[in-house]
Amino acid sequence: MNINITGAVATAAITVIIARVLFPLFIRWSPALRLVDAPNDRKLHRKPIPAIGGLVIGLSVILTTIISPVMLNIVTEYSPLIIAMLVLLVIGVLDDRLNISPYLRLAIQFGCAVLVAYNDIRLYSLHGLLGIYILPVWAQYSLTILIMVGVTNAFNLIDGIDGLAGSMALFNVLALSIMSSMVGLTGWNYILFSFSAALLVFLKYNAKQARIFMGDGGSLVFGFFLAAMGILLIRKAEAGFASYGPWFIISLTGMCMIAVVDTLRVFYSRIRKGRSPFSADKSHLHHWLIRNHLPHLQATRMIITLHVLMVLFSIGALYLMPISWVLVLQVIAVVAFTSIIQINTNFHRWYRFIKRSETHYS
Amino acid sequence: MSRKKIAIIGTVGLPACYGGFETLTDHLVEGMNERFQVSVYCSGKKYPKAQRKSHYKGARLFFLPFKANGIQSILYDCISILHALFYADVLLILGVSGGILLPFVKLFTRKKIIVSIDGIEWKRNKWSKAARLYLWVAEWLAVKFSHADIADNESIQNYTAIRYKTLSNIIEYGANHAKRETATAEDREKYPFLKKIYALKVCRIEPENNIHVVLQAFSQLSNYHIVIVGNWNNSDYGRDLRTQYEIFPNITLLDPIYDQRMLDVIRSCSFVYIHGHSAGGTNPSLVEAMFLGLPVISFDVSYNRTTTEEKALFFKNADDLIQTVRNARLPVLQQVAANMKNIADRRYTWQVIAQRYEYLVNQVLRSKGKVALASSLSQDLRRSQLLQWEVAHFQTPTYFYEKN
Repeated sequence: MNINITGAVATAAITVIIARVLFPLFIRWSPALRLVDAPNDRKLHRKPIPAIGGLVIGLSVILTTIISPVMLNIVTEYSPLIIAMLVLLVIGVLDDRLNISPYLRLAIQFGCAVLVAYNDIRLYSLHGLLGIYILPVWAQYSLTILIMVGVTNAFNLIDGIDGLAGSMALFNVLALSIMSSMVGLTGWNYILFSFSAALLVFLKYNAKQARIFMGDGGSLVFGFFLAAMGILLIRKAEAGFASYGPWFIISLTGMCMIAVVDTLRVFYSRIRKGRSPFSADKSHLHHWLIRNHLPHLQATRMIITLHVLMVLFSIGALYLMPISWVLVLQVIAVVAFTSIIQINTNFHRWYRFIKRSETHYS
Repeated sequence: MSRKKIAIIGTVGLPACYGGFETLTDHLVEGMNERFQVSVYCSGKKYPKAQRKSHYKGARLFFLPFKANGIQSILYDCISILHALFYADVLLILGVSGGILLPFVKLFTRKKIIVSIDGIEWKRNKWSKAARLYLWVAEWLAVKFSHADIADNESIQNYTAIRYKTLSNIIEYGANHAKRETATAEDREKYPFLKKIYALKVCRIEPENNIHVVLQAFSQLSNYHIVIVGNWNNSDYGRDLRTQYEIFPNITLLDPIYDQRMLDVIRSCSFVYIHGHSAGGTNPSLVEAMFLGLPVISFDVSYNRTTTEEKALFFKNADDLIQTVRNARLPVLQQVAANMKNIADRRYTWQVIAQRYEYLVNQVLRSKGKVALASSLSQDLRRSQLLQWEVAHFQTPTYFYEKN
């Protein structure tokens, strides 16, 4: 175990060096590659900014893999998952460049999910969540695919302000590495550490007046990876670590909850207004925070604090109550947080209105 | 026909010796107890057992063991409302802090609810952030789930019309309990400034009353004397201002005066009244100064403009105030004073106010709901649909005078 950690840290160090070289290069090249995110009325930035975070993180990890035998082993062992992630990375980068139709994108994500599920990374049991244990095969497939596609897109949509998607991915990757150590998937730690190293370098460029965005290439891959890796961990827990099952499930739902609930809320409100759920607007949680005149980093910090606390409290709550209740509490926590933010934003809007009407009377 | 029962909820209590709501309640009881059976909820914290009366001017009094202000007011109002549900026909709720109960009252009972929203409390910086958010939500519930709401200022009526698309009733405060008193030799001995010509400001020492602005201006107006009465020792803001400005010979800073006659003497003898309040609503102290026939120099916000019908003198900042004071000529001030008195006599007497409340109570007993300012079409249909059918003008609110 100790040797494993040392090796993983060494791999991470190599990734850091590679990423430190690649990021400045790609920031310089991105306008020529036309991989920049141009501002529009929905976007919160003013200048075109390179949206290549995911691409560079991916390249850094791939280059690290080439020189790391442990990582190569993992890559060959789990080649379907790795292939799916590479496909999503390419699709994401192409989407940033060409704007692929959302339906094609969805179809490709669906294909990736099927590929991974077919290769035995799928949910067999819910470990008592909502009273359900072993699932029939059709439910295994449909639930796995639904979760993968859903979480992938949810993470894609949460990527809206400086540092948010990056730090959320970082926390998730670190939590995943703890879990994979617990079930003996120690080889994965190399890849997870390598990911976190690349994410750390990315955050340095992404935080405060971001010089780089993650882009679809990053958020899609990290969302997909979280879902797939989570399901893989639950599978491993079933094979020999059964008591970990509920803990893993509840931590993983905690890690997805903000993104998923927010996406569902936004979709619901769009449909209720008679619009397509995929039509873009400024109604995500982070938009509400920014509308409150909160600096990006502060908004990010608030959401990440909620994210981390929710995972930790969920683990604690599992000692006190059945797993289904913890899940319900997670949903309530996100909904309550969102409503408080919304009430607060409306409050401030009326506050400014009153302030203006006091002195600018007709 | 038996007399309808009214419960007055949300005041400190009777006999009145506190703020505007309590004086209002006193006059409401006096004006309405012949035709209605009035009950008033009082805070047991302010009335020790020995002082409590079971009836006052014909109104039943109920004492609850809570404070009427601060965080306890939520509980105080809610329990008062629940208690009143047992007997009252009309709940007259002063202040919005019990607003969270009103949806249930409106949906599950046939009681009529009148809420006085009392200025825009949620905007005031004196409350904590959480309290302001609560008040903001409570105001929304209170207006949405009442049969009539009362604003104390036209500017607030504009605000509720825009936010809630309903028409608030404007009922201000009375002032004719303030009396003109002349100073005796004894008074002059106690307060030597009574012999001079002085400007006066009576208020709580809070930043939103712009005391710092007034003091800054008068520190540069060494020929003009100002007297400010207030609770200076209540906050750091007050203590700091006091140490900073006490040294000026033309500035007199007094602690609160609880002797009503003495306060009336000081008010009646002053030359001009400086009104610095910026908080939302009609301020009782301004109305009283107007009734006493003092020329008013008021801080320039919409509420004070509507209260004085724009006929007072106004200042936006210290420089403005200095200019206004320096340029004020006696005939102008006399004209302002006459105007103020005129307005107060017409609008701000308790008889008028109590009558308006009674009229509103009768109206609520007869009618079903409040006056909507926008067509119901605009609430049932989306903007795009209205546009499509070329009836988007239904979104425009109607004029107030079309509804009154």
